[in-house]
Amino acid sequence: MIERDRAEFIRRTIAALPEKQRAAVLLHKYEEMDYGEIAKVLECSESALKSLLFRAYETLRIELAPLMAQQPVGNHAGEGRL
Amino acid sequence: MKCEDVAKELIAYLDRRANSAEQMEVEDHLANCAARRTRAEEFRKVWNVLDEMPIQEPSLGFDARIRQRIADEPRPGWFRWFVPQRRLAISMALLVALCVWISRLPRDYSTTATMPAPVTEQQQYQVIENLGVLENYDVLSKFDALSELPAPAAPEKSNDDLKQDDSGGM
Repeated sequence: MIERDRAEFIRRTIAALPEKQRAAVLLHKYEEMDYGEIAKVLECSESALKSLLFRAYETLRIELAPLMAQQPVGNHAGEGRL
Repeated sequence: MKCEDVAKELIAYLDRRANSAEQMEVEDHLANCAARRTRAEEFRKVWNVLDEMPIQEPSLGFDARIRQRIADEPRPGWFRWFVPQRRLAISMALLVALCVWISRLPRDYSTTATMPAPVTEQQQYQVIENLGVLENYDVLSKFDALSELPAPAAPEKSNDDLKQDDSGGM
């Protein structure tokens, strides 16, 4: 799978998450907001947010398993964010 | 810390946002729990995969263009504050028209003519004076004077009967 297809697959997988989980992942992973800020945005407690994130990443772990098995050539992912 | 509790704190542990006490607890648990250790590794891989998705940042001129468009929006003049909204103006006009129409309706004074004449103070006093006796059923039912009253008279004859009697008598 070429890099562009992988990115599109990831985008669709995130988009398929339930709305609140999707927002939590985007704010946590891409906006790098801290838990207090995300909890405020999503109007939930930090404890509830942690459960929400865990469920979201669990779903992503299952859905993105094919991509995890084959890392792209020249992947420098994970070096920058989180 | 229970395994379920570790699951909740695992994300905060992996992104190093958990406090030191939680970090220690999760680390202790991971040292003895192979399942959670495997899950932690998988979450790290998930994050690496998620990093492949490019973040679409707005162009450098995006903010400037937005601000320019807002500035270009026509601003309402100060006199606009005095101009009422269309709905309000129509409602007020209808209300005024209704008031004028009601005020021009002919008034009917005939109802006052049929009203009973005002009761005099003397009549009111007579009614109040006997009210206690009239409302007391025991007094009325045991009132001897009522039992001595003559039997009610026969119904009055009609005018035709009277005429017949008159003609028969003559």
